[in-house]
Amino acid sequence: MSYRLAFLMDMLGWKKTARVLVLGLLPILVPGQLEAERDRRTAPAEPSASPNGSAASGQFRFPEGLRDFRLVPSQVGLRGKGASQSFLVVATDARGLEVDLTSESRFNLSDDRLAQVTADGVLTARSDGELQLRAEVAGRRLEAAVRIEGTGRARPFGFARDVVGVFTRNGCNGSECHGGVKGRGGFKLSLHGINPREDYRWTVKGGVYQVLSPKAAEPFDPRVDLEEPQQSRLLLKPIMELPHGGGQRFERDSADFRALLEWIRQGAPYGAGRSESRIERLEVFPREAIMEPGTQRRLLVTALLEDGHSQDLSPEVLYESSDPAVVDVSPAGVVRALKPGQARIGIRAAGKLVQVRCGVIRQPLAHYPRVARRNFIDDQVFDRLRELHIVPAALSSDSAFLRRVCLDLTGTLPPPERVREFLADRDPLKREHLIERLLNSPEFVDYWTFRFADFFRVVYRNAYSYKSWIRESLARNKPYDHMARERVAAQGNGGPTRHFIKSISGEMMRPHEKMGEDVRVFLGIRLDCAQCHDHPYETWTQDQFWGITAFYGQLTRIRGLSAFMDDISGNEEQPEGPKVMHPRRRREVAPRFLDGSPPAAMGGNPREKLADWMTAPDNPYFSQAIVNRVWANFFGKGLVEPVDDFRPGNPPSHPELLEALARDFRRSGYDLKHLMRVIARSATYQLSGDVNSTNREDEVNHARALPRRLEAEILLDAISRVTGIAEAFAVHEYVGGGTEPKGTRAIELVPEVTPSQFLEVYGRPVGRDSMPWRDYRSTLRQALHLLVGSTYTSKIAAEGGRVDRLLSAGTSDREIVRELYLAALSRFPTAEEESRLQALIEGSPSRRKGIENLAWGLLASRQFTYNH
Amino acid sequence: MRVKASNGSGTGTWATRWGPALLALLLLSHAVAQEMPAPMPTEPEAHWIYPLGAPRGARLEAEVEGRLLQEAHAVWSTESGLRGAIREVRPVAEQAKEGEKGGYGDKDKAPTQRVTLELEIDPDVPSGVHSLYLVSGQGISNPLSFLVNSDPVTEEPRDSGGVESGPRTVRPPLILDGRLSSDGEVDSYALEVTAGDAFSFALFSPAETFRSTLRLFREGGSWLRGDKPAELEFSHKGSYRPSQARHWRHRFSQGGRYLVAVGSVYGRAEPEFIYQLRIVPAGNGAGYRDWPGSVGPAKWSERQYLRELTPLRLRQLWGRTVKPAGNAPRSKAGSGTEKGARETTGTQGPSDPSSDGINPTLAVIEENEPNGSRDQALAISPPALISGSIEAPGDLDFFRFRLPAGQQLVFEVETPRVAPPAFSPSLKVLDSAGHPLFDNKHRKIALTRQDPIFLVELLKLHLPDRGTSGLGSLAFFESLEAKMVAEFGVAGDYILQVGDLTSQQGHRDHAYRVLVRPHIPHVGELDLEGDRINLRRGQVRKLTVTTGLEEGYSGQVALSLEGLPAGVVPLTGTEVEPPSPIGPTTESPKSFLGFSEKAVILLRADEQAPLTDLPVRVKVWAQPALENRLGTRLPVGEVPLMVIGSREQASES
Repeated sequence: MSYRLAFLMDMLGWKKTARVLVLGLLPILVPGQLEAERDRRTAPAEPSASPNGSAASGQFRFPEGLRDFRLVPSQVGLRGKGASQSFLVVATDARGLEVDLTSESRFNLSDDRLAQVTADGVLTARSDGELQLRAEVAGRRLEAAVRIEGTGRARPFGFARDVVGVFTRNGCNGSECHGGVKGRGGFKLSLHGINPREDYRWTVKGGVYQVLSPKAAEPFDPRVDLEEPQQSRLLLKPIMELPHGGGQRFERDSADFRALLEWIRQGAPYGAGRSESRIERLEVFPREAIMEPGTQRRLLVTALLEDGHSQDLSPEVLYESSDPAVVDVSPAGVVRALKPGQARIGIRAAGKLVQVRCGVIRQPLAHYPRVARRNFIDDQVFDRLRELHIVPAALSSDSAFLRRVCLDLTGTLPPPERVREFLADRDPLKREHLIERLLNSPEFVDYWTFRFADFFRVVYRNAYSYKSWIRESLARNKPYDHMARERVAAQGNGGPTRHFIKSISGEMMRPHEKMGEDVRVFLGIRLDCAQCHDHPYETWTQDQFWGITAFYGQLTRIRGLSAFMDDISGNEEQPEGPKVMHPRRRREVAPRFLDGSPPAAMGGNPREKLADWMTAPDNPYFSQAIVNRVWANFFGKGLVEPVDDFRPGNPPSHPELLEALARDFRRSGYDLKHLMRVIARSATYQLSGDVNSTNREDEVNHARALPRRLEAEILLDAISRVTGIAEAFAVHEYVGGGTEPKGTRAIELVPEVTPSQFLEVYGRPVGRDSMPWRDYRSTLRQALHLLVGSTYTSKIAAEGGRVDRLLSAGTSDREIVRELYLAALSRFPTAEEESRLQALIEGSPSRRKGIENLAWGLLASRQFTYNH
Repeated sequence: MRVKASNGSGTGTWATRWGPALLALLLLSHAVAQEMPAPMPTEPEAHWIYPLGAPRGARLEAEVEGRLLQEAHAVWSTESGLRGAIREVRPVAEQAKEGEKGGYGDKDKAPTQRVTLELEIDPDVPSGVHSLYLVSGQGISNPLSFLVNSDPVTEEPRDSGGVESGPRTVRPPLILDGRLSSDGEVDSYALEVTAGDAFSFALFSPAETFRSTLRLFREGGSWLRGDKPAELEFSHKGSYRPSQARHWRHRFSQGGRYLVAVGSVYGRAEPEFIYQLRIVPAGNGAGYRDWPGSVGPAKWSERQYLRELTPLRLRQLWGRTVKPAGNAPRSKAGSGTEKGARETTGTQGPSDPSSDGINPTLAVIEENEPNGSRDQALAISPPALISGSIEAPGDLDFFRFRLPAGQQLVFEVETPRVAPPAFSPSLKVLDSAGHPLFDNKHRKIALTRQDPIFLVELLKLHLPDRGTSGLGSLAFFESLEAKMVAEFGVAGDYILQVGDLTSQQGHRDHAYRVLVRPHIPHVGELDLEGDRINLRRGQVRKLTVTTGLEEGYSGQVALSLEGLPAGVVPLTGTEVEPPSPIGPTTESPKSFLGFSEKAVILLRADEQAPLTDLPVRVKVWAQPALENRLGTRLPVGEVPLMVIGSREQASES
């Protein structure tokens, strides 16, 4: 050990001989140096920056080359007394960036009798008629057609729109406040106003929310005081005249205060109920904003109503930035770019959500380079990068590609002879050929069985036949929808039925547990929170949860056979067959799909109907969920992240790409290999990790390959492979003890059966009754294991191992260095690395020790422990 | 006590009241059981024999390991053509191979011996599983299963160490003897095949805890690893449970070299993990049940899916009771109905001329499609033996029959080719409107597991704030029965529906035979506890016989012994039945459960009883006794017995 530290010190430069080694082999001990060094070495020519630079705050300076001036909306219809509409003026600058010129525009009307317009472009109706709104900016004159009607009558009051709108706008019904599961401070509101009827009841009648009952509990303490409206707690708390945990939400003389007061004075009616035209969806302009730091943009939010009309809702909604450090947004909907990066602005109203993608670019590029594309993935990704003025890295080298694709498709490092063969191959299609070879290799089946075992939850209690079914399905390249159908609707004793068994007790999972897992696995949706109450952050309701659970209610286990079947015949306790009871409503729940629709007919195996619905081509979740999971395998993170958390509040980074992949996957007949082939062949996947000035901050747009730490099992297998010493896995005593067969790989193990300190230290999930979670964090235990752990030291020095064999064969130092580099990093050492390493070996007390330390250094390096 | 069961969030009053106390008791008993040391053997024990079998006509050397075998002097079998002699007895500690997992001696420190035998098998010994015993001054050992094969047998080479370590080439047909005694061991064998070859692979081991794996690889290596063979996907299939035999067939679409690997789940190995692997051309007598086969008469079985339902079943059943005086059967299903039904269907074959109305020989009614709906139901008239198959997923077969009021019928089902859980036949009886009346699902309530993890889970579920939602659903379970009794109070047409338990399994091999017959009270399964009796002079040993009483049999059962050696006398004994801690309860005992009685016969050896050098075969018989008359003698079983010296004599010698 002391010698190894001395060797390290050597490499760390105290003897000034091994700087390259430090940078190349030991960055795990000095994180960040690898990238820094690589940046210096590999950075391509910097893309040229825009001469215009970014717009500065203060005195506005029109960007050069403005074109495509637009007044938004270009035509609009207003209804009702006092109806209003905001207008925006935008143009495109010479670099292709859209610029908000509203503040720099002058507005006027063709007929001032019909309406009035403010300096910032807000038009308010006065009388019925048609007119033009004119905007003048930078010498341009723009017009929008406006039609006004119904000014003789005020828009009817509606609680859902007018009062719940106040709640939403002020954040009162957010999940952290009264929209939480049980509300806050004894006052409950539905999340983001999704259920205005209930909100009305809680506000006007009071009562305490109960999780397990639809009835409210005492005290019934209304939030409004109809006799003394000014004393209503609904008013006094948000202005902090009564203590309020949520702080001050608005001022006493604000419009919101006045609106609530007026409503209470009117007797707090619900107002327009069924007759009110409800908001069907929200639209926002722009949907996407590419901005420079320091610039601003206004958002225009339009509500599309069920009756076909639309309404400007911009001042009445809640705006939230997903990353206020990148962009912030004012209550009025003005977005300000702060620093390069990506963020989303979420806009909520009446239980609806719409989002704006914001990209803050470092520097606009006047001349964007041409980037070669290979398939539709590249079209989607590179178009987006171009919009963001990010230039992707160049394609990876052959050696980097070889290592990456072998790890991603097979979890296996290529052997040195294959690396040599591939690097020497001059065939321009050699990458495509390699992909095919790997897709059809036995290692592909091993690796993807491991992957699927992870997210299909293979555990000790169900491992044998369940894993066999997964393995066979992959070996036969069974269409994924068939796999899903077999698992969701599983009956009998076969492999897919084993997932109904819990990992700890071996008992059958309960109906809601089975449902929760299937929905999460196949639709990427986490419904679990809705078991006891409506989902706290999203719009999934408890009724939806139990409705879909009811498909599993008849599943029963025939003990003697350990077989599963759907028992519709009933028994003495439940003569009409087992039922699923709604825990809050205390009544039987009929099967309902997530969209609320019932199955066409029941009888037989109800889960077959559920499987039909889940795997239907028009169910967007099914194919998106799996392509997202597969994508995450190749890029380290999904287009939706976490991969099993699809929901409106967590949109994909590339929605069009996700749908394009899903569509292509469906067209291929749900062919997993096809999906992987498409991904692996794309230039996006094959990009190098090189950093340039435009892609440095990017971590979501795939402008370069991001290094991913090898998972515990893959890392251990890789160490075994490089050292040439297979791991002997002890089997837990409770399954009989002993060891797994010689040559068993870590990816073949069932975690609960084979305890392994190495695997636990590196984050292998164990003890799974829920979906597994992997820990990718670096820890002190890992560092200690690296320094003194037997996994490294024993294998490297083992008799018959790679180092021993090379030495015994009389291989030269140069060849040994090369061989170890090829085995561990799938590349040849650079000339500099080669010469310095040889010198280090020669300077070691013994040749064997020197080479063993070289091997250790390689295994300890981030170039080895990461897939890059 | 009334037990309420639920399948979800229902209540469990019984569970609520008694659950905690019960759990505490179970935990305590589990803890006590964990502390108990393994008892020292009092009579010879044989743990394994290797090799597991040999072909007819062979002479071979074999090894047996066990305890209290140091005085072993003879090999004994009920098959006269299977003979053996003991060559050597050695303590096992000196014999253990390097790297081999320790035997029983390592576990509880009891001395273990290894015995070398020489076996001789006559050419006319029937093939199948035979029982071999070792005989010593301490008595006779438990039986060891030994296979006599008609195919050549090859012993596993000592260096057969795994898929990647140069397996030796074998040529079917053959049977391979092997053993997995070192942890992680995998035995592999290479096969050269030509395209189109089809082989049947079967693995047999008598070790109950051996969860064997049988995998097939194509040799050749992969691009990433030159020594990695590609596994053929079918070979992973199999039961997750320990199984005595695995059977696969595979047709090779490509010629070349393949590897067959025998392993154990999670690499576990034990000295008794001994197996025979049979590889023969498919269709060459390698079918399900054909190998290894058993010898001797089949035991009577009431509720095993594999029991054979033949046209003689009714006769056999009547043979297990006492024929009533006169000629009228006691069954409620009268022959008048049979006649009427036959006349209406015309599907029943001619009845056995020897039929006397009580023990008719049944014709087998072959199911023929279409009969996939109630409208297409094939008419039958009980008693009837139906033969059919569930050929495709979702396939249902329907049969119609007519009954007068007050009939009681028994439905028995056999799976002659593929047994549960691969094919789990579901029987339903519907009324004429299609409403289900009976099915062969047996709903029971019981705690079946006693491992600590389970109990902890149970306790968690039973915490006060969890209400009563847990225990009931955990303890509620169902089984699928091979026999059910149904009572028809109302006259009319009824439908028998036969299908698979699921709607997803079907194959032409999913064959069934269903016997629809009158209710016949009879003596059911007869079991003899123990596999040998070592009786010391002056001592008493008990022989326990369990007699099944089926379908309301209300008579007695007379027991008799045959072949007792001189100086040994049988005495009538009594035994107090220990209370069952948690007995399963059932919703429908009449439909699915028989009753059983235990009888104890005490065997006493005189102080002067002659010692036996070799075991004698004691046969036990049962006779139904009803209305003061005895029925036919029924075999209960056979047990080898030895009279051995007293402990004092043994220590003196």
